[in-house]
Amino acid sequence: MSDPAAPRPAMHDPADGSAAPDDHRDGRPGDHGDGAPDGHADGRSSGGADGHRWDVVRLLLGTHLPFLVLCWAVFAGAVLVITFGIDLRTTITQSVWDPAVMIVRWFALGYGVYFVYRMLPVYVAHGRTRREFLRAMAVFVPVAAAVVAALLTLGLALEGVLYRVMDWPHRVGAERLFDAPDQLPLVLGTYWAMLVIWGTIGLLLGAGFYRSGGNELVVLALALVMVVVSGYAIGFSGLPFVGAVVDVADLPLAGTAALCLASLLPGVAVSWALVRDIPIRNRVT
Amino acid sequence: MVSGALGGDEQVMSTNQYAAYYRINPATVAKAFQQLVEEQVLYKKRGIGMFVSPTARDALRTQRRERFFSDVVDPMVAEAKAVGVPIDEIVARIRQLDGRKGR
Amino acid sequence: MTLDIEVTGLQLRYGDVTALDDLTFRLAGGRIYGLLGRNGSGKTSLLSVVAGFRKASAGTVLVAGQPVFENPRVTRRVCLIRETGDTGDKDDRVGDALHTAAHLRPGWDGDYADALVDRFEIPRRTKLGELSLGQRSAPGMIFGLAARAPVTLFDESHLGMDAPSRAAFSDELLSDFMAHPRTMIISTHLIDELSPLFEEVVIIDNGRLLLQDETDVLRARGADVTGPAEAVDRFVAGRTVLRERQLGRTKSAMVYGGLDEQHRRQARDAGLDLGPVALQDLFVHLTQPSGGQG
Repeated sequence: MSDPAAPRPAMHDPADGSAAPDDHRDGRPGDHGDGAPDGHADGRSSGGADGHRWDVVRLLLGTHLPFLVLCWAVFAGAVLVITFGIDLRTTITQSVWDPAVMIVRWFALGYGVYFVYRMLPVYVAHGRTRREFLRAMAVFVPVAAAVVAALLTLGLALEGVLYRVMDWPHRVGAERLFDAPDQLPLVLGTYWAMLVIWGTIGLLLGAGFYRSGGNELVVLALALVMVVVSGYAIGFSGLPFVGAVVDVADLPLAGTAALCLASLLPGVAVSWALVRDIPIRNRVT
Repeated sequence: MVSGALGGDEQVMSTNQYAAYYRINPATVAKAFQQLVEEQVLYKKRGIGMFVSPTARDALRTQRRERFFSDVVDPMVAEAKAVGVPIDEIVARIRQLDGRKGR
Repeated sequence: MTLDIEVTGLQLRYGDVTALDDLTFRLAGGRIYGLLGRNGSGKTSLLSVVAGFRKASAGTVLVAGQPVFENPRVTRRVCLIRETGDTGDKDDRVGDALHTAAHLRPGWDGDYADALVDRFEIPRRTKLGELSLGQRSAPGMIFGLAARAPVTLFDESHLGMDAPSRAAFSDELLSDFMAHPRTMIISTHLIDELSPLFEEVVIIDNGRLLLQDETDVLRARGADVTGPAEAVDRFVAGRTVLRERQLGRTKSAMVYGGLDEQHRRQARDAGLDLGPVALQDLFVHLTQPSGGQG
C-alpha cells in the first residue's frame, strides 16, 4: 500500500538553493500561538509566523470535504437508481458500484486541474508561495482521497448488503487488485491509490497547461504513462488497446505498492518542477 | 491669513485634514506647511498642531507689497502700452478709485 | 511599519521580448508612488516581479532588504491588485472571496472590508465573473485596501470605474493610507486625475527607468512658452524642448528643465507668456510611443 508520507519528500526539492526562510518552523507547528497577523519585517520573526502553518490545508479541507461528501451522496443515489434500472431491464450479475467508481477518477483529475489552474493563482495573489501551496497539496490530496476512498468503500460494502438482500451476485471484475468486494482493506487501498494518482495527474496537467508553451505535450505523455502503470498495478487501467505486460494477480502487495509509487513520483516531480516558478498570468475574470 | 479670517495664534487644519479635504498626498501638504514654518507664517506646537504665527499677517502683507510692483504694476503697465491706454488715464483712474474708497 | 523596495539591475524576458531592461531604483517606505508608462512599457511586468508573481530573469528585487520571489516572509506583506482583480476565481462569489482573503492575508481587516463592500454596494452573492463592468474593479480595490499589506500595489485597478467611484476610492485610499501608513505604488493612465495622490512619480519607458522624482518637482520642470515665433525660438535655444506648435506667427514650445525667477522675468520682458504644463502632457512628451506610433 502506498505510504502516505511517500509523496512528500519529492516536494521539498533540497536542490533548491534558496534560503528557505521558513524551514526552521518544521517541528514547531503548534508554536505560533500568537498566529496574530504581524507585519513587522524585522528579520527576527519565526519564519512564516503570520498565518499558521496549516492555514491553507485547514481552509481547503474545511471548504472541500463537505462538498465531497455531498458529491458522494449524489453519486450513491445515482448508482442506486441505475442499479434498479438495470434490474428492470435485465439480471444483475455483478457489482454496479465498482465499475461506477471508474468515473470518480476523472473527478479527481478534474479537481487536480482546478487546483493548479484556478486556485494556485489566487493563493499566490493572497501572499502565499507556490511551495506552500504544493506542500498543502501534498497533505490535502492524500487526506481528501482517503476520505473519498473510505466513502466509496463504504458504498461498496453497502451495495454488498443490498445485493445480499436482493439475492444478486456481488462480483467484481477480474482485473481488480481485490478478488472479492468484501476484502475491504484492499478495496480501500485500491480506491485511495487511484484517487491520489489521478488527482496528481490533474495537478500535473493543470501545471502543464497553465504554463503551456510545449509543456502540454510533456505532461500529457507523462500522464499517459502514469495511467498505464498505475492501472496495471491496481487493475483500473480501462485501456483496451494496451495488452497486459505483467499479470497483476501475480504481484505481491509490495510490488503493487512499488508500481503505484513508481507511477506517482514522476508526476509529483514534474508537477513541482513546473509549478515552483510558474508565472502568474493576468487572468480575465 | 491675509484677510484676517485666520487670525494669529489660531490653529490651522492638520496636514491629514488638509490632504483629505483637497484629495492630495499628505507629504505634499507637509512640505508646504514646512515651507510656511520656514517663512515664519506658521509655527508648530509639539503634539498639538500648526498655528498661525501672530506676525503672519504682517509678514504676508509685506511679502505681497514687495512683489506688488513686479507682479501687478509692471504687467499692468506693459498691458496698457500694448493695448494703447495712456498712462495719464491710468493715474486718473487710480486717483478716482482712491477718492471713492475714501482711504 | 514601512518597507522599502529596492530594485537592482532587474531584467525580465519573455522569450525574445525584453519587458524590463536593467532597472535600478529604490522606493523609500511609507509613500504613495505613481508608476507611469505607456502600454507595453513594462509597468505590469515590474509590479508582477515586485509581488513575486513572476521570477526575474536577472537582477534583484528586495523588499526591506529581503528577496521577494517565493519568500513567504515578503509575499505575505505584498499585495498586488491588477486590473482583473486578483481577488479570487471567476466562479467564486464575492462573499467567499472575502472569506478566503480573511484566512490567508495577515493583517486583513474584515470589518473594514465589509464596510467598503456595503459602501460600494457590491452584491456578496454574485460571482466575481458575473459582476457588471462598473462593479468589477471594486472588489480588487477593496481587497487592496482591506488587506493592509505593508506594500500595496495597484496596477490599473480602476478600469471600468466611473468618475464618482474613482473619486470615492481615492478618498478611501488616502484616508486609509493616513491611518495606516504603508508603501503604495499606483500604476495608472489617469495621470492628471491621480497625480495629486502621488508623493513621487516613477516613469518607465520601454522597460527602462525614465525618471523618478517628487511629483511637484517634476511638474515644476515643465513650462509652456508662448509668443511671437522668433522670440520663443530665442528663449528656448539651448533648452530641452519637448514639443513645438505654431499657428501663424505665434509659437508655443513646451520646455523641460525648470525656469528660475530670472528666466521668468526674461520671458516676460521678451513679451512671452509662461504657463504650467500638466503632468500628463509632460508624460506624453517624455515617453516614446511603443512600436514607434505617435
